[in-house]
Amino acid sequence: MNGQAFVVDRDDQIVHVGDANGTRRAPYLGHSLWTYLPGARPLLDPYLEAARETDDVVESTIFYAGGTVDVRIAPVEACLAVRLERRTELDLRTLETLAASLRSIEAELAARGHARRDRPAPASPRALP
Amino acid sequence: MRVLMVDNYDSFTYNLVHLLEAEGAEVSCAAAARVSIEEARELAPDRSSSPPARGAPRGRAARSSSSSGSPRSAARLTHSRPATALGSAAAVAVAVEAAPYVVLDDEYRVVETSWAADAGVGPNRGESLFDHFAGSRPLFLPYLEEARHAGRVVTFAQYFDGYVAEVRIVPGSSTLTVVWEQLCILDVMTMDGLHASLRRALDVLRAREDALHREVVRNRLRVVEGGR
Repeated sequence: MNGQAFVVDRDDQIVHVGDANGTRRAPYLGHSLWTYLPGARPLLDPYLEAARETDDVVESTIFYAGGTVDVRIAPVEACLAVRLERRTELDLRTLETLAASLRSIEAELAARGHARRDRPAPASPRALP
Repeated sequence: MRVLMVDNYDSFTYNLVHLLEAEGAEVSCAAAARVSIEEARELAPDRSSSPPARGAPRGRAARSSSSSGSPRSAARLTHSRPATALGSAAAVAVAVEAAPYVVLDDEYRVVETSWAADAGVGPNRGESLFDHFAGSRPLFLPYLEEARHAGRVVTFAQYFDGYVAEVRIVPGSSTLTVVWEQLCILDVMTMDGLHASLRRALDVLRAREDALHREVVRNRLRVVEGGR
């Protein structure tokens, strides 16, 4: 996910891909962004909409695909340039490492003002050994 | 086309059954523990196929590339042992491989893997299991040593690398066979999915540990009662 960049049209169809996605661009072009970011639509849609509405750059950090991801969405004419940069990853090896990395990620998201919860879930790190 | 599906208790079996039926095959399904060569011969199936068993533990990278987060291998076509026993080139049975397993030597090096475990562990044959699964030593070594020193089967539930699995260690003369069944897998795509699957994983882990503990107590009671 490091440095992945897409340019999408109003229907979230990919019209251009960045170099970090590799030299084979054909598999991406013309397909929905959500095909390549499964499950990410509810996370990213608000930022895409905000960028379209304000015609300004929107930046955020989200949890996606096992870690935190910096998202930068920039309006480019009638399209949006979406850039994703992996920040941190969960350490899934043991419950202890998972708990520690999850705590760290939740703290990071909270510090950035993007915490998606303000109450501990039953499966929060505090419930783990 | 008649196909006999020998179900070795893998959910993917029925995915294949539905696909084969959609292609017009007449599929009979039989539990692996119950079907005999004679019964297979009576059904006279025309084709052989071996779908994947439960996924072997894999690296995070491999799992992240899957949208479902669940490792799956492609089905493969094969002439299985039951097919040979049937003695007909045209009439062969479908075999589904059993749960993944690895065989370890006395230094905990991998000396043998089942087909289901091969994708995850096979390339590291000859290496220590603990080198391949970094961080696994403190989680698994006590159970391996218990099985080796006590000379009896040890079963436990364990979380490791995004999975909760039930693990059975069967001691041999100089080896240990480690068989595992994946009980659940973390969904790390979104925070909501992670929290929900983590809740499920902890519940499964506790429930399985409780069940295994009850089984141990029952076995001890049987020993006591048998000794009366």
